[in-house]
Amino acid sequence: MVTVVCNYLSALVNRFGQGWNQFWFKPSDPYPLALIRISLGVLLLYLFATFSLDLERFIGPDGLVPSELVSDMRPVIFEEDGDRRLITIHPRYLSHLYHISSTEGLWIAHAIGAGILVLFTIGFKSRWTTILALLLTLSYMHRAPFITTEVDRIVCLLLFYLCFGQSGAYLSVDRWMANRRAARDPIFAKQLASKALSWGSTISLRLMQIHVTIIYLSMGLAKLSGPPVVPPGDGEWINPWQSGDAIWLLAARPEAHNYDLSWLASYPQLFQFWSLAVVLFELAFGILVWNRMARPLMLLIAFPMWGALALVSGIAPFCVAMLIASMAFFSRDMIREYQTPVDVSGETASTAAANA
Amino acid sequence: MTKPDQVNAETSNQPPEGLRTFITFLIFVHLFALGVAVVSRTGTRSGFERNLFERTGASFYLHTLGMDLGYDFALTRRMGDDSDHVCDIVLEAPRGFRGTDEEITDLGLESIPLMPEGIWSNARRRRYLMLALRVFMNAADDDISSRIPQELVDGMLAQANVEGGKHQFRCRTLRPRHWEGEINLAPRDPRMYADDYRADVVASGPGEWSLVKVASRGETTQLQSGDSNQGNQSGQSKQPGQ
Repeated sequence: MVTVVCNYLSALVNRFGQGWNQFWFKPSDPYPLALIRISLGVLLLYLFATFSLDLERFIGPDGLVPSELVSDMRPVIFEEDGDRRLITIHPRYLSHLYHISSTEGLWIAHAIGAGILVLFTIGFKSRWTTILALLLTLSYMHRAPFITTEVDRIVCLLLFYLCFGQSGAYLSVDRWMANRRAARDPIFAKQLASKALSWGSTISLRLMQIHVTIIYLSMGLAKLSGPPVVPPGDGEWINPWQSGDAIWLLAARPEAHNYDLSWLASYPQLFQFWSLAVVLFELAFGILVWNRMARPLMLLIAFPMWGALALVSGIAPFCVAMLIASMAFFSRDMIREYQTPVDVSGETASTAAANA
Repeated sequence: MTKPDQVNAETSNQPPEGLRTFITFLIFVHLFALGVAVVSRTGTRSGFERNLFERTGASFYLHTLGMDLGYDFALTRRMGDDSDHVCDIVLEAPRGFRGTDEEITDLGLESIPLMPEGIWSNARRRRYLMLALRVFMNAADDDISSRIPQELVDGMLAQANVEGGKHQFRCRTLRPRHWEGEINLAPRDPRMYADDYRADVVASGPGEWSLVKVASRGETTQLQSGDSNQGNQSGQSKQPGQ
């Protein structure tokens, strides 16, 4: 019996190891990373451009978010003996903006940052510009955490994971330059072809997929579970996602939009159905996107789902960022597999040939 | 191709075993930190979850990368912090000013809004709303609540080149109208507002200001003018459907 158990455990460990290696290290196509790089870059440039309009107002010398306040309000915990213990790094080590006190210096740093984002977007020296874009985004986030929004966190995690993959392998200046060199140098052309797939891109994509799954499931469950504490005096709390009012509550915020969505009040069943659909989608995506057959469907539904939410929620950049993050599950094989019609058995010509 | 051959063919395209082991270790560390963040940031935190987040180094790692928050983001939960929060400074507020828009109109007062008028960009609006949310969240905290409004007032008055006078800083919750019964009201009807924090702003030196709290969320405060007490100034936002 002991032998049986040992053999089983040994087989389990071996199988787990093989599966782990297959999951994390099998080389994969970096094309989705290129798509994510470009769309993320465009989003970042938009966020950067809008921040430019309030740069001095927020973090200038007379700004609304002075650096001293940021450092004084870092998260701390209080020990039993009353001492404060820091649980985060001081922002002066996390943000170059912390050390810039003049308006001119701020604008110079901001312009350099914009340049980095442009190079990142077009895929020039992608490995380095991705790392710089990440450091830049984190720097702004840590300099002004009070105005950090939901989109900034999604952008940061995508940038972090992009650092591990070859996001410049396609649709980039790097690729264009490599193709030009390959046209002149057959040896380099052979090397380039052998690097078409990379395990670094697999790690990058897998980390994104796992993190995005966590976000989807957490958001879906948060909508169902409600807040940890309901403030006293607020009466009985009614979950808006279960009562169907959630979409209306988002649409009816006058400061979040510069257009009027009051007409939605005339269609209560629409926004009630919509509220329910959002919860179901988030939970379904987190689970079904891992199924090969259901994955294209989840990605197809994600577009209208996040697109519609972008119009009513008042957090359109976040919705766009979630859509970009969802692209981590996209692959060119998905397109190739269904380029030929599917027969009655559900097999495409390619899968039928593979199974033959 | 036999199974062992297939396995060998696949692993030959992968990194060497030593590197795989090291990367696997890093992945485990990262996923552990993520798991800690999810567990400790969703729902009510137990002491174990709090210690897990604060004492394992996960807080340093995740905070640095901006991955420590947001796992319980539900878009809205019909709570006070889900509504819009509006901050402004009413210039030359008279003694006994109760912070209502009707008084501003009747007395012909001017105000400096935190969020400039005419912003079309969603991203810009969101940043100003987050800043106002900070005032709302700390309004009842006597230790910290004076710092954030103080810095906002200093910055807003400096940027508007206001150098003296007596003003009043307001932060108010603007709750959404209920779709039944309130839809005929204007989105910014005075009945939709509730006080989060109000403070008199007095010049204490050239370009320096002092805040004297008049009202905050969750408190009942006597007005400084000696006028009759206006009752509950708690500023609790009334939620639709309740």
